[in-house]
Amino acid sequence: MPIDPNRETWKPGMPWEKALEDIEYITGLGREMGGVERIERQHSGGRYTVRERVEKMLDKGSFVEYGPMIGAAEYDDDGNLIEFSPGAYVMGLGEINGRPVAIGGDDFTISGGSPHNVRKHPIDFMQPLASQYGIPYIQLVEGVGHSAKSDEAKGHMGLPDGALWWRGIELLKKVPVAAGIMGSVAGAPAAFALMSHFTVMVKGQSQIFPSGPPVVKRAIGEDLDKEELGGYKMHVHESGQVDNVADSEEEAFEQIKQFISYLPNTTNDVAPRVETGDPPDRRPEELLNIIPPNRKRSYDPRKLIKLVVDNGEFFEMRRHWAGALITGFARLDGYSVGIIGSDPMFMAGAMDGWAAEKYAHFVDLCDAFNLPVVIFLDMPGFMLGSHSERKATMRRGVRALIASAEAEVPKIEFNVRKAYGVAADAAHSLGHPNGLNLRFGWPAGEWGGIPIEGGVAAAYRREIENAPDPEAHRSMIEDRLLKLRSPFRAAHKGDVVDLIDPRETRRLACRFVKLAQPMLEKLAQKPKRVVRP
Amino acid sequence: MAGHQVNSPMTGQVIEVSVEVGQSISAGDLLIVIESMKMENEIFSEVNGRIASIEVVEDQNVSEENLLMTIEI
Repeated sequence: MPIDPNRETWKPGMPWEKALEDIEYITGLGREMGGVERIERQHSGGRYTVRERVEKMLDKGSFVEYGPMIGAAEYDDDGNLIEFSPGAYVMGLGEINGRPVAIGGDDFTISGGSPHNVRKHPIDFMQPLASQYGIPYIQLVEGVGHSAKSDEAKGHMGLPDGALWWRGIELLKKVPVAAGIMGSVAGAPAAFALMSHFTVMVKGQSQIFPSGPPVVKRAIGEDLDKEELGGYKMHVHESGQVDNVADSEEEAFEQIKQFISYLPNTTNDVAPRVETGDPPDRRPEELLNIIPPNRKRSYDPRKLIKLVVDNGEFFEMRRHWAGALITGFARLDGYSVGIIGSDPMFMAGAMDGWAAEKYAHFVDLCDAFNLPVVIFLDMPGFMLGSHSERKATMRRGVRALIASAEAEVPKIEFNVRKAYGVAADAAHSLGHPNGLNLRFGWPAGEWGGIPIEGGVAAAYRREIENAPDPEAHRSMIEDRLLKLRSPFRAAHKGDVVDLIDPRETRRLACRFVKLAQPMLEKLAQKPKRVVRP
Repeated sequence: MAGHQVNSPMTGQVIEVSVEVGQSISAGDLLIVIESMKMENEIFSEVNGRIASIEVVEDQNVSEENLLMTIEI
C-alpha cells in the first residue's frame, strides 16, 4: 500500500482514535520497507528481508520494535503527510527460547542498506540498551558502508573522529555479540560485523571485505568476483576471518541461537544451567578403545568429544580453520563448558601459528564469559619446518601461553595421548594457580619436553656419531628412554591427579564442572577485557 | 573436464600411495599417507573422479602445498 497523498493526517486537537489510526497507517508504511519491487528483488536472490529475518530469529510474537516510525517524512503546508520512507535499519527487543536479546539488521531494500538521510542506527539505541540491560546483541548485517554519493550530497568528504566504534567495543566487554553476515558486506558494516564474539556467513550468499571487486580492481588491478574475494571459502576456510558458515539463512539463525544458548547474558553472569537429561555418571564404553594401539594412527577426535558431552551435542566454532585444534561449546551435567581438543587427523594435531591464535582467542572467550574449560589434549608439539616458521608459530604460541596464564577460569585437562613441549604447556598453564586446575591422564598418554626420536638424535648426537654402529647405538638409547615414556612414571611423580579408565572421563568432567560453579560466580564479578576477535 | 589438485597439507614423507593412475575414486577414499610429526596422516579425496596423475612416489619427501596428484572430475 503506497502512501495516500490525499489522506488527512492527525493534528493536535483531533480525536485520539484518529491518532491511533495514523500510528497504524504510518507503521504500516514502514513495514513496506523499500517497496514491493525491492522486496521481490531480495526474495528472488534467495534472501529474506530484514523483517523476515528478525521474525525467524525470535520467539513468535516477542519482537518489540524500536523506532518503526523513524524515517524521512514530508508534510504539506496543511500538515498532511505526503511522503514517507523508513530508515534502513530494523531493530528492537525480543526473546530467544524465553531469554531476552537485542536484535537489529540492515534493510537492504532501502538504498542498498547504505546510510540513509535518516539517522537510524543501532549505535543510538540497540547498543546502549544491550549494554545497560545486560542482554545479548544480535546484528544481521547486510550493508556496504560509505557511499561516494553521500559525500556528494553532503558536499564534503570529512574526517571521522573514531567515536563511532567506542560503543561497540564497550559492548564486547559486557554482553555476547553475535553477527550474521547476510549478504555482501563492506566498509564500516563489515567491521561492525567482525566486532563480535561469533560470526556466521551463508554459503554462496555472503561476502565480506573492506572494499568489493570494483574498488579492488581500481586500486590494484586484481579482477576477482565477490565470492572469490570475500566468500566463505576465503574467509571461513582460508583466512579464518569469519567463524562459521551456514548452508542457509535459517541455519545461520540456528547457529546464532545455539551460540548464545551456551553463554550467560553478560560477562558478569554465569551461563544458565539447562536440564539435558544425560546422566553425569554415564560411562561411554567406546572411549576405552578409541585411541588406536599404534601411536602413529589417528582417530576421530570429534567422536571422542561427543561421547563425553551431554547428549553428544557439540557446537563447534571455527571448524574449518586452523584444523589442528578443535574449539567449541557443550554441556556437562547441564552446565555450559568451553571445549578444546586436538585433531590428530589434521597436521598430526600439532600447533602452528593459526592453531595458536585459535587457542588464544577461545581461551579469552571462555574467560570473558566465565565458562570452565575442558581440554582433550593430543599434541605432538609445535608444527615444525619452514612453512610453520613462516606463520610465526612460536610467537603466536607464546600468545596462547599468555592467554592461558591470564585466564582465571577453572580447567580440567584430559591428556588422552601426546603432550610435548611448549605447545602443550599452553594447555597446561590454563587455570588459576590457586584455583581448579585438574589434570588426568589416559593410559595412551605419552608426555615430555621433546619426543624420544628427535630428542635422542639431538642430545646424543656426538655419542651416536662416534659409536661403531651408530644406528644400533641410537636404537639402544631410544629403547632405554622408551621405558620412561610410560604414563605410570609421570603418575608416580604426581604429574596428573590420576591415570584413569577413559570411560571415567565423563563422570569426572561433570563432577568438576559442578564443583567449579561457585568459583565461576566469583570470577564473574571481576572486570573483563574485550575479547579481540 | 576439470582437474582437481591434491596438495600436501604438511611437510613430511610419503609412506604409501593408495591409488593408481586411471583409478576411479569417490569422496572420502584414501589417496595417500604422509608421515609427519611422527603420525601417519591419511589424505582422503574431497571429490569423486578419476586419478589423472600422481606426482610423488613412496619414500619421497614433500613440502606443505606440494602437488601430490590430480583428479579428473
